[in-house]
This record gives sequence, C-alpha cells and structure tokens, in this order.
Amino acid sequence: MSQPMRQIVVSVNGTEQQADVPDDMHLLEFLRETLGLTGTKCGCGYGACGACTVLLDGTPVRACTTHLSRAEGKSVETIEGLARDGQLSPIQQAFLEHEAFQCGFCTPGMILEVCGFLARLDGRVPEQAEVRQALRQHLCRCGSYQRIVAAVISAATKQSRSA
Amino acid sequence: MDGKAEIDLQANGLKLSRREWLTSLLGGLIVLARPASVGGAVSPEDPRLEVWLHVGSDGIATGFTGKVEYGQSTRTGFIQVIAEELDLPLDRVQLIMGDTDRVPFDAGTYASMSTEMMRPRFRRAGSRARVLLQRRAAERWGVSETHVKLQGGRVLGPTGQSIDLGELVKESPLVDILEHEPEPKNPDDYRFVGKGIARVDGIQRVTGAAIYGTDFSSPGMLHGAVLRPPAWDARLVGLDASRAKALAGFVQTVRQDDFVGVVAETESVAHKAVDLLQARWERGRAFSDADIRSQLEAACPHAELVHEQGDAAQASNRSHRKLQAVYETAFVYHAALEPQAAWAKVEGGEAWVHASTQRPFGVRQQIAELLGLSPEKVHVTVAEIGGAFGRKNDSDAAREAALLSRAVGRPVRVVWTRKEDFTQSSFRPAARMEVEAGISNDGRLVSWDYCLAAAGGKFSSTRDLQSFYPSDFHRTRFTLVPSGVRIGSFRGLGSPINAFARESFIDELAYAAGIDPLTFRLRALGEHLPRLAATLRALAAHSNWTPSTAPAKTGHGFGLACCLYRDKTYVAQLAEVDADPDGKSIRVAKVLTAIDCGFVVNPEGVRKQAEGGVTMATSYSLGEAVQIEDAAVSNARFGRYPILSSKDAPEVQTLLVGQTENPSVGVGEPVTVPVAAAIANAYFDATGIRKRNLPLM
Ligand code: FES
Ligand code: FES
Repeated sequence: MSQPMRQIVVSVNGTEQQADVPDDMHLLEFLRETLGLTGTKCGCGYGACGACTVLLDGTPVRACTTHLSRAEGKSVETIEGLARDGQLSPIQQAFLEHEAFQCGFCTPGMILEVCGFLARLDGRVPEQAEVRQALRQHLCRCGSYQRIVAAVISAATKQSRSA
Repeated sequence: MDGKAEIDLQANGLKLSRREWLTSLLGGLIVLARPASVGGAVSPEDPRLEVWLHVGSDGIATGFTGKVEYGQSTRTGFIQVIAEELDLPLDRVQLIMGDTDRVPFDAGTYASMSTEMMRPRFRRAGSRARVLLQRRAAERWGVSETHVKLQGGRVLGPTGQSIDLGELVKESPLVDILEHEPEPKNPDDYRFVGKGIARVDGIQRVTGAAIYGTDFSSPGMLHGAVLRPPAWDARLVGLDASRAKALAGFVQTVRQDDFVGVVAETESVAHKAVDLLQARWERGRAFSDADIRSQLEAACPHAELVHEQGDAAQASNRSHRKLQAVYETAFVYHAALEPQAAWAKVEGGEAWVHASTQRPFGVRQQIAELLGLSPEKVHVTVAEIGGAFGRKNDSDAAREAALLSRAVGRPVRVVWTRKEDFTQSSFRPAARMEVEAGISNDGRLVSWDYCLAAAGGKFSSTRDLQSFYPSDFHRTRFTLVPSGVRIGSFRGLGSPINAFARESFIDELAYAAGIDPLTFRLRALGEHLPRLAATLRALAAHSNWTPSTAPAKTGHGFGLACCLYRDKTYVAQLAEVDADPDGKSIRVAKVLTAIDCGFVVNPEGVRKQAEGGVTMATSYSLGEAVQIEDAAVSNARFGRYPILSSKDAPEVQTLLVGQTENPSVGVGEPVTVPVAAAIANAYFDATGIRKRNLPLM
C-alpha cells in the first residue's frame, strides 16, 4: 500500500518549511518526527491533556488533533521558537522563576497556551480563578498548578507594566 | 560512534572536556580515576571518594549516582551538597545519574530515599576530596595543611598563594588515600545547602530542550509498536499480519510467544500496522471491579496474622465503647504525563538502552535475562523522565525495544500510546480495610484490630500496615485476593491506603469519645513519637484549626490526618473543603502540610514535592478509579478518568518543621499519605456525612 502524499508549506518558528508528507499526517507528528522539534510533547494523542499545544497563527491549538492541512500556509510557533536571541520570552522566564514545573513534560504545552491566553487579555492582569479556568484542559500530573498560576499572573503583570 | 556515545552526547550535555571525554570512552574511565570495573559492580556502600566524585582538570566536579530525576529536584539537591563540601560554585558541579556503566550500583529511585541515601555519601566524598586537594596544594607550596583553605573553587595559601582545583588534579587524578574520615562541613557554614536554590535543569524544561524518553532518537533508528491483549489473561491463538505488511514504511513483525511487535519507519506506521494485525485471542475468565469488590468483602475472615500484642479480653473489658468500620479504595492509575518510552540498540552481543525508568540497574538485569546476555554487556542510561510515580520502576518499553532491535539489527524506539499506557499499567491495588477499636471512658485508645485485604500486590499494599497509635491490645492482619489485575508500585505503596482507614477511623473514634480530633490523636500518642506530636501541634498552631467535638455541618469543614512514613518522615495535614449540604459535591479549597523530614537540603524542593504530592493525592482521593469489565480496563481515557486540573486544584501550603541535626529523609511519598483521610475528615466536618470509600465522589 503506497501512502498518498501531499506537499505542505508551513512556517515554523519563522522558518518556511516545505515537505512531502503523508496525507493523513497531524501537526504533532510533523513537528516531532519530520522536523525533529521534540519540545512539543504527546501526552495522549487525542486532545485531552494539552501537552501538544502550539500556536497556529497565534492561537493555541492541540497539535495532536490538528490535521496538518489546517496549517497549510500558516505560521506555527512551538516552544523552541519562543526565546529570541538567547533571551527567554517573559512567560518562559516567569515559569522558570516560579519553578512552575516538576518533571516538565506538561510545560511546553502550558507555556504555549499561556501565550495565547495573555495575548487575548490584551494587557489586563487576570484573576487567579480566570487563569485556573483558562488552563483547565491542561493536565499536570506532577501537580504544579499553583506555581503555574502564579507564573502566569506574574508574567501578565510584567507585560501590563511594560505595555 | 557506538550507541553509548550517541546517548551521552545527546542526552547528558556534560561538561567534560573533549579530551577527557574521549579518554573516558576509550579508556574505561581511567581519566575519571575510577575503579576499572565500576559499571554497577561497585557497592553503594563503597566509601572511596572516586566512586562518587570526580574532580576534573577543567575544575568541574562530577558526582555519580544511580538515582534519577523525574521532577523531585534531586539533581539540584545533590549538586548543592557537592558544591557545599567542595566550596565550588554551583555551575562547576554536574551529575551523572543512572548510567549503569559509570555509577555505583543502586537499587532504584523509589520510596523517597534519594536524599536520605545520597546526602551522606556526597558529603563524605566531598569532604574527603576537600582534604586531599588542600593537602596537594600545601605540599606544592611547602606549607602546613592547616594553613590552606579550599574556597570558591581555588585553594588559597597563607601568603597569597592561589590555585584552581583543576590544576591540582592535572598530573594525577584524585584517589582516596585518606586514613581517617574528615569532618564534613559544619551546617552553620552552609552557603548552598538549606537554601531554595533554583532547579539546575529548569532552563531545559521551559525551552523544550529536555530530551525525554519519548524524544530520544539516533541515526538509523526505527520505531516499534506492540500488539496488546484485549484482557489481562488473554492468550494469542492466531495471527495474520498480511494487511500490516502491506503498509508503506512497514519493516518487520517480530513474534516471540505471546509477544508480537511491529517495526516500521515511523511511529505512526508502527502503530497503524499493529492496528492492522488480525489476532485471535482465547479469553479467560471475565471479571469486573464489582467481582473483585465481592472477593475483598469475603477475604478478611481468612487473613493471616501479621502482628498481635496485648490481651484481647482485658482490653475488651476496659473498652467503654467499641466501634467498627469498613473502608475501601479503588484501583488507581499513575497517569504520568509521559507514557512508557525507551530506545534500544542490540548489536554484537551487547545492548544499549536509553529509557524513562526509575530503576536503571533493574532494567539492565531484566534486559540481560531477556536477551541472554551478562549484565555487563547491557548499558542502560536514563532519559529525562516525564513523571514516574512508581510506574517507571520497570520499563516495559525497554524490554520491547530490545526484543525488536535484536530482531531488526537497528536501534528501535518504543513509545506507548496513552491507551496502552493506561490499559497495560500496573495499578495501585483496590483494597478493603476492616477496623475495630475500643475506647475507654476517658477517651483512651484501648484496642485496635485491623485487617487489610488487597486485590493483589503484597509489596504494593502493606507499607505502614501497622498503626503507630499505642493501645493495650493491638492486632494487624493481612490478606491478598488474586484479582487478575496487573498490580505494581504506586507512590507511597500501601501507606496511603492504610492511612486512609487509620486516620479516618481515628476521627470517628474521636467524635465518638466526644474529644476533638487533634486532642484525641495527641492523647493517643502520649509519649510515643514526640516528633509526630510536635508536627501535629505545629500544624494546628499555623492554621485556623479550632477544636470541636462535633461536625460543623455548615458546608465548610476542616479535617486532620497524619502519618509516620517508613518510620522516618512525619507528616500532618489539614484539609479545608467546601461541600454541598446534600453531600453531592466537594471542593478541596486548601491543604496545609506540616512536615518533619529532618534536615532540609532545599526548602523549595520540599515545598514543590508537597504541592505536587498533595495535588495528586487530592485528585485520586476525589475521583479516580480504574474501572474493570471483562478482565480489562473499561475507562482507559483521560476524559473518563478524572485527573484534577488547575480549575479544581487546592491551594497548598507547606510548613517545614524538621530540625537541622536530624538526617534528611524522604518527602515525595509521605506528603501524599494522609491526604485522603484529611479530605474525608473535612468532608465529615462540613456535612456530617462519613465517606469510607475512595474515591470519595
Ligand atoms: S497530546 Fe494532544 S492533547 Fe494530549
Ligand atoms: S510538571 Fe510533570 S506533568 Fe506537569
């Protein structure tokens, strides 16, 4: 059985990627296997844990359930693309300062979700409950939630000050 | 380059200089001045510093340990200890963890023993190295040893001499020749240890650079997937692989008895191919979790006696009131976010394995037996681990990857799907606890009679089986019900199961005696376990605990529970819950943990373990139950197995009450132990309803 292939053009972390990929490929497999960007994790593969979250044109999506064709011509951002010139992004920095992780397997997905969340807030600093609600579909089995929430609020606060 | 070197370079990012690096590969560690056959052959009791610590000519100190990191912050803690004794900046210390060729034998990273075991070893090795380095400098300068001092990575002499410690090992590596045991550094002089030093491996976690078991790859690597039986006791009676073989990217099927695996060019083709295998199974007995519950119900009358003390008849006479209760817990799934994952390369009578495992030496032994190799021919290194919780004491994926690699002669990675990880897991056993106690008319605990019936897994269920509360008559019994369910190690083993019954029942007894639950516990302890009593008192003093002899029934409640874990760690917890008056819903608002784990190497590390452990235990106490139908898991999806999210996670506060002079002991498991009972007790306070089954909802 030869597999139907398709050509895809997608920008990943600012670099245009062109590849021939199997027709039924999902974004997660493309990132991890085709491009070797293993920072994006697979915790379930069916949309229930959030570990695979990346930004698609700035909006958080679950790469495991996002068909690659949906990314055609769009731009994808992953955890590997957040730091600029060796400088962590403010959200990465806040996660680091608050040690908002234990094993760290959920961390990339959490961080990308927070990127989208803070962008939607447009400079407003969220309440705790709002953050908890926004991240409710991200599992952290190590139980780092309290620190994650604190990191998000501190990143939002910094962002609103510098805006 | 052999598989070993690939692994080291990619995964460890060590700071050994290139020359030393190559020498260590070729020369069997000569440059590290380590015993020729260090590969796990060295006993963990070996006192020589070179077994535990290498000081490189680049001025970098490297610690060696069989322990591994999966989020407990041990990597950071060990580096703090070494940096402290050697007075080195933290960034000049690194660790090699869980590499079976290079670290002394270690039984595994479990039971919260890492700091307890390793802190004394690294202290001793570090202080020995310090003395030797100072001696070398003193000899070089022709001054007395007492006039030189190691400080900030340099040895300083009496008249302004100064030399980097790397210089001191250029000509000959540091080898232990000390005739006496030097005093380790006085904790009063500590600069790193005892401080909340940030995780040394945090940056890799926020940038996606950490390479977990699911992420590791090597040139030429293929992917494996394995056919899973539809039930625990299903037997394979027929297989047709023709449809799988037709897939583009398919490489080979591998069969050995009931093991059937597929090797393919990509992970998704491997799994698709397995889905296309047409297997015929012979099913065994169909059973459900309800059947197991009935078996457990009938079990205690046949239980074996574990311990008995005192005179039952006398105690009975003294009992003013007698109470009995039955508690139950469900099967629980670890659900580490990273599933089972491993890479293996089997070639030329040797095997290299890189796996997410808590027990690299255990995996080495298993792979050796599986492949018929001697353990020295099996080289296990450990990937970053995405959560473990006891499930990764083994690595099923490593065994599978090894079998597949041997068959295809190329490296193979096996990464389980979530469904496989769930259905093939080794769960915490369901259990039934029957307890009976008598109290005197002044509210003293007079008798205690406890029976645990577990659905498989003596090792997994009997930890801290015996209650520590003294009583005139004391009896403990235990029995196993062979359930057919795969059982394994789960964070804390039986300790949280036994504590749920003990601490819930103590609350019931307190209310029955008309004494508040804190006072009742303190009285029951009396002079026994003063550190536990102190931990309970500290908890009460730092919270809004108000003594009460009857439940508040206001929809808001507080509940206490405590434990002594492995006779070492003392934990007391206070849960604060909101519940519907009709008892239909419950929210755990807050959990305060007071912990005496002896001397604390990194207070932030302890707090994080407490936060994580409390959150996980709250989650499984409230809603987690593995359901079983037809001899298989029937709710093996995240959506059907409710793991607590940020929305419902409690606020967690932690109070450290340990004293400097006590040895450092475990944290990660003990902090989970009293949680379920604390919540059930708080729920009772809030509603007047006693819940005796886990999960509570
Ligand atoms: S891996 Fe995509 S949501 Fe879990
Ligand atoms: S840090 Fe381990 S899953 Fe979140």
